Amino acid sequence: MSLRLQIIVIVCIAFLILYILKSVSKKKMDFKFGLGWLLISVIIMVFAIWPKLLAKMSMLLGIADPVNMLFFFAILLLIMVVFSLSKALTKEQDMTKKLAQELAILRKDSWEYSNSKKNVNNNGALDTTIEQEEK
Amino acid sequence: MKNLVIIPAYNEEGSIVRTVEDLKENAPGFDYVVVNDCSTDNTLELCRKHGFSYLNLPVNLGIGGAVQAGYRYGFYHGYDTATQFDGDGQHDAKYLARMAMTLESENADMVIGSRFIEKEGFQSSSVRRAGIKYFTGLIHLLTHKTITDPTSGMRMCNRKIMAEFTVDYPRDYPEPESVVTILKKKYKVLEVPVIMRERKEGKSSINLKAGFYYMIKVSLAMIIARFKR
Repeated sequence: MSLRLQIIVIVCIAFLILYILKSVSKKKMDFKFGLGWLLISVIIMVFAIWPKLLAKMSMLLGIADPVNMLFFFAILLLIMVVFSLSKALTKEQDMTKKLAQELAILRKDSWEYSNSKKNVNNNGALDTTIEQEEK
Repeated sequence: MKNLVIIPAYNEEGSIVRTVEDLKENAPGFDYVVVNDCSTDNTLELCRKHGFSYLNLPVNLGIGGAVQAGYRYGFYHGYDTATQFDGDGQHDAKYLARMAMTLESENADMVIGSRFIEKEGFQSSSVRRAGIKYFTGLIHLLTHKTITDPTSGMRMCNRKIMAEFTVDYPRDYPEPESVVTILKKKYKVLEVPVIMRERKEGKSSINLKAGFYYMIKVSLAMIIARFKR
């Protein structure tokens, strides 16, 4: 690894770490995600500063080319990230589903309640107002 | 006994009024609720105009989510039974009383309206019948119980099942999978012969192209449901 490339990688990672910290502090990213990305950045940083570490590790694992080890772990990591996102998405879907159902029931109940109280005869009045406000 | 009929409706403007009128006329003693799953046609306006009882979902949840909204509503409002009933005019309200009687007298937890006990009325296409037979076989393999019409959308259940469905109900193609879940939990499921009509409006949610995906997805979901703890 040339010194020039080393410096480029180190500078890029430094910016990435700053960007992650900024996102977390501005609440644009949850800290639990930020922590994972920070860990990954630090690992890349370590390899950029001591490239020999990479060669040693790949030898230890019996991978001929250090770059191949890098690719292998990078792909593994990405698969893990996508998998966890699918799981997180499913959880979000379930929560949205429950909220939508509760909202529909609540609307019907509140509409019936206000109708029974005021005894107004304009069918669906409350419901229409709510929907107009949404738009 | 407080009875609720759940009518999931997605773009059923051609048949929703007829379905509800049929219910009001031929199923006295049954309350109903239409679940409008973000229809893009006039289903909601028709429900408002006729003063029907309805739930209006704020986002499209699909058939499973819409029916589950109905079960949730029934459970919260203290209904003793809840019945799924298609909004496309396939189902006949006059069978509801018999289903409720069976539920009570046989002490069953769920009663399914089956087209294939007396083999009368609309019997679906031969391809679909073969698919349904396959599901019957798979359910028998997984639970050792025989359900002749596992895809039937006409199903009545008691409060225990309502509670189960409120917590967990499949998102799409829910019928065969949820029957396996219920049978696995040792609930009593019975079938009652009914006659169904061919749908007059709208299309089935499952066409031939989606059929292949449907068979595989539902089969796997049923097997997973059987071994779920």
